[in-house]
Amino acid sequence: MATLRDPQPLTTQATALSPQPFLRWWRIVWPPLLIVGLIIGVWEIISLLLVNGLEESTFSYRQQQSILPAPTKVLAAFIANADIFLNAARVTLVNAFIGFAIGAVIGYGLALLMAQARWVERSFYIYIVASQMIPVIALAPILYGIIKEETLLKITVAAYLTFFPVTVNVLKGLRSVNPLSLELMQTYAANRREVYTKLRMPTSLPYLFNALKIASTGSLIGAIVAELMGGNEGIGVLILKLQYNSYAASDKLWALIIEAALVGMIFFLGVSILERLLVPWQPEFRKK
Amino acid sequence: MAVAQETKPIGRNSSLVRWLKIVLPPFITAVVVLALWQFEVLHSLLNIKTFQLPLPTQIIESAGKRSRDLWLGTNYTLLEAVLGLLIGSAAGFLMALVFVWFDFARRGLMPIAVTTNAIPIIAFVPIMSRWFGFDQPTRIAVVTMMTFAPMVVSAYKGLTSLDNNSLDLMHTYAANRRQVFFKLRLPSSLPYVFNALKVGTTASMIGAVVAEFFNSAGGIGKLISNNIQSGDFALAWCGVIIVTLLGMGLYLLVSLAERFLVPWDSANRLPI
Repeated sequence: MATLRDPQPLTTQATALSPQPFLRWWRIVWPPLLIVGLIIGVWEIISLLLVNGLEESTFSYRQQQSILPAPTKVLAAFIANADIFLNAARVTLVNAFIGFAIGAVIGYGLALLMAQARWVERSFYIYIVASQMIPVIALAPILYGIIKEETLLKITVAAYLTFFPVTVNVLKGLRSVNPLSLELMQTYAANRREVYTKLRMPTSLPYLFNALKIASTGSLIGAIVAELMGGNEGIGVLILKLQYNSYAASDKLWALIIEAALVGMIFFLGVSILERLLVPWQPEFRKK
Repeated sequence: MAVAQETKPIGRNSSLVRWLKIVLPPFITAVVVLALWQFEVLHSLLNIKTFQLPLPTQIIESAGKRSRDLWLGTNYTLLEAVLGLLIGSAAGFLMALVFVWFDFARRGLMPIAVTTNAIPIIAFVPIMSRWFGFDQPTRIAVVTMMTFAPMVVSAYKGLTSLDNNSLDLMHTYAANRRQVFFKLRLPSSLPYVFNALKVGTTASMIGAVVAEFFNSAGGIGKLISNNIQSGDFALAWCGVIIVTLLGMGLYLLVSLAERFLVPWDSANRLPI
């Protein structure tokens, strides 16, 4: 985007030619790593100050610790309960992913359908937009009243949260083909199906992946909230259990929440890597 | 449809036809769905009972009976959502400004901000309620966290994606940094800021409600989850409908503000 602004792009281009991908990678990675390290360090110091001079295993110690348990304690709690935590994460992630996949397929299908005729789009698009306004996760308890099966509920909520961004983005993508390319297709007497498979659908892929990145988090949140509504295993269930177990389990609670955050990042990262493999022609992936 | 093919009539008439063509299809869909719902066709299709999915008339009746609870909950939740959205967006915009001015801060913090988008913030509610108690501040903090990162990313994109020709023009006029900032950078960031705000309106309502599913002192979310547990589905549906309407209202409000403040960028708007 900023090509003519200053001479900087030239120099970055020069470094791109140098055969040191690791060095380039390191230059991007070290500042955030430094900051994360600083945050953890400050966190450790604050939490040590909070429990300063208090006997371990006394009530006031636990009370202070529940405000901010030290990172080392959190890590220890995670390692001590690793099998329970990892199992919960697996259950939540698998359900979220199944829902995510189903929602993506439905969303893409809906977008294809709405791209066919204006009247279909007119009749449904506004509701699809309105469905974004509906607190779908707030519907989770109501859906739980209807779908009693735990796994099915998680998958349904995750799918519902995925389909919306996919439909809206893909519809935009199918519509935003280059007019010149479209004219070229017409010049070659391409039929409707060919226009779709060779032009419109490839054009929609970057839009699809944008939506999938949003939906990766959305489906995970959906699965967790569905678990809050009543389930037997998963991250949401564990959070509820630990939350009521107030002062004693704060280090476990923190470990679990950090795990949830990491699961979200891994999901997001997975979609981003897939995007790079499947849609490598996007400008932002070009070597700088 | 036949009317539209007539030779262009008087302006007012044709705009009425256009308006009808936009409004009629969704309106018909709504009427059909409501009818299927009211006459229990949906129930037999999905194989559910009316106590699980109450009829529209039952929902309205329930809203009339418990209007005071709904009103209190609405005020409670709306305040959380709006305050959280305002604080989170303002902080996000400030952070984006810092990124523009100090490149090192951007290199260190931008990846973290982007990653925050991938985190299910809802999971942080128990920690927040330990810090801020079971009342509104917890929910405000959660909504702030939810709206902060998207605003950082969007606003930074807006503040940096300047039109090169405009920048050249500013240089030709010997504009100083401050002038470039106020006359070019800030205005060109506004569409991006409003995009983040619009996404934020619904996210903040939903965030506030879902955060109330954990032990909360009040609000629509508490009302929804409590009444699900006690089996009063009609009242829970009232809650969902209220949250939907509030989300739409906030969205429209932000869209209107955008129309006034960014009149030059109305092309990419959603058809609302």
